[in-house]
Amino acid sequence: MYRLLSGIFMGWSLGSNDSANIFGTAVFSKKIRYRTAVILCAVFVIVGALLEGRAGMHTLSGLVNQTADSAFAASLAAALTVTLMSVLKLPVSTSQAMVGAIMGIGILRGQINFSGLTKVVIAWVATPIGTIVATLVLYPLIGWFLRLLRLNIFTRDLFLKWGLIIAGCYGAYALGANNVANVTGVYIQTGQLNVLQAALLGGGSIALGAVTYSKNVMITVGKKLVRLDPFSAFIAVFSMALVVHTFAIIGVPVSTSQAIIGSVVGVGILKGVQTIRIRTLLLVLFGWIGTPSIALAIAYLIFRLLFH
Amino acid sequence: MLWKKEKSIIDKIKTYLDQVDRCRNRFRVCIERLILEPENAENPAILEEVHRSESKADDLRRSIELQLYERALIPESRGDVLGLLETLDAIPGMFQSLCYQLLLEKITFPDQFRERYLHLVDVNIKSYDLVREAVLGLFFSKDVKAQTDLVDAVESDSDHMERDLIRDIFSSKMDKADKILLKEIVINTGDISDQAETVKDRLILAIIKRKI
Repeated sequence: MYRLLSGIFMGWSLGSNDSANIFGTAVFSKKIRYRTAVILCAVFVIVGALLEGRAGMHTLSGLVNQTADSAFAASLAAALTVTLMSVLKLPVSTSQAMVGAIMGIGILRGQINFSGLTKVVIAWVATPIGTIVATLVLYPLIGWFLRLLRLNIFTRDLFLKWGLIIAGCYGAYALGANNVANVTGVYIQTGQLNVLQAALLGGGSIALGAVTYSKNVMITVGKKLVRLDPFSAFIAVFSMALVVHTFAIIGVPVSTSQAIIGSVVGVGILKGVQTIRIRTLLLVLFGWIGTPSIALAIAYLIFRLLFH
Repeated sequence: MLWKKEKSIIDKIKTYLDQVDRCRNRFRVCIERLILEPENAENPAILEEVHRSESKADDLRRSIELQLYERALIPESRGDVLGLLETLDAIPGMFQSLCYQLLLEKITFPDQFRERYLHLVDVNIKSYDLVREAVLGLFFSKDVKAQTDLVDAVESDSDHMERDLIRDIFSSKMDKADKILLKEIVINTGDISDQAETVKDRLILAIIKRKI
């Protein structure tokens, strides 16, 4: 049973970090209270995990044959990687850490499903590209609709307020559906949890992270995103939710942080301004290569020292 | 339910603008009396009406501001609305000051300038009317381009009339001190359309910021 603790730890750190991408703007622009935001986030994360979380779980559990020990080691390694990176103030993807950790154990045990891995890596690269495209399509489309409505300053604000809240709820749903696999996906193959239990425990631990420890990150992310005008911020969150949800349906856990970076780049392209610095793009690149490599090394070490 | 707070502010803004209109109408009556019948004993009472309507408009604006601070609108829009109301609210203040200036300083326009001055007043009132319509447009989803374009034209007319009037005042055979007093009144009257132009500039900025 103690082996599940590393998964809960993982879910908690994921929730405390990634809920910022979803409700950061709405909270920072004071359109919704922090408490309301985290409650909505928690509810929709759990609903997303329960209704659509299984596809991603199957992908992750298909990468390597897991045992109870390897599942524990993978979760612990991924959670440690994310925590280490958070201490270093580097925003990283739990999905990429988890896949790296699973690979580390797979290498040690000499069993990796490369076809599943290719699907995962393609999805990582496709995530920011997907949100750029989604933003390029949604921005003019919803913008046209908004112009058609001829809203005054008050009704327009109301539209954006509810837009941010609904996009946030959708984002939380997508986060739950997509990322729950990172948290408890590894325990399904080992038989420690069935899909429903995994979804509930994973969703619950992400929700716990959002409720207990997301405020600071939420404010930091909100501050960054709020530099965009409210309409752009709404489109950015909505595009992120759409893409992350799409990958949840396909069954590949992806990074909400990298998804939102793509959205912001999309807004920049449309408005002809530079919204992203080179440093941010390097961080995305690091997410693709550095995070899984570090998690891989940590998982390799943990599993070798404790169980091999 | 969803937009109770916003609707209540919209209603208050409408009431506020109606109140400023009342002040504008009383100002027009008052200034005509002060110019054409400067010695009329009823003038202070009429001015009191201008003052009361200006004061009521001020109270309404403050109450709107308070309500706006209570989490209505996103901060960016709140700033725009507050800024617009504050710049617009300077206009009824100008109406009132002008009347007080005429009454307290016992300024009398010579016959040859009375009609021209009242025409200048009307042009400046028109600039207020236009900018008021434009502000209404932002709050009530109307196209404001026609009004904002006209504000510039009217302000420019007012500038020309001001200069001509001042030149003619100083070419007349009045006492120098009287000339200076009249000049001040003319300049202060022209300030109304300058202020209307400031409101229009803020309005355009608010519209541009919301362009998608």
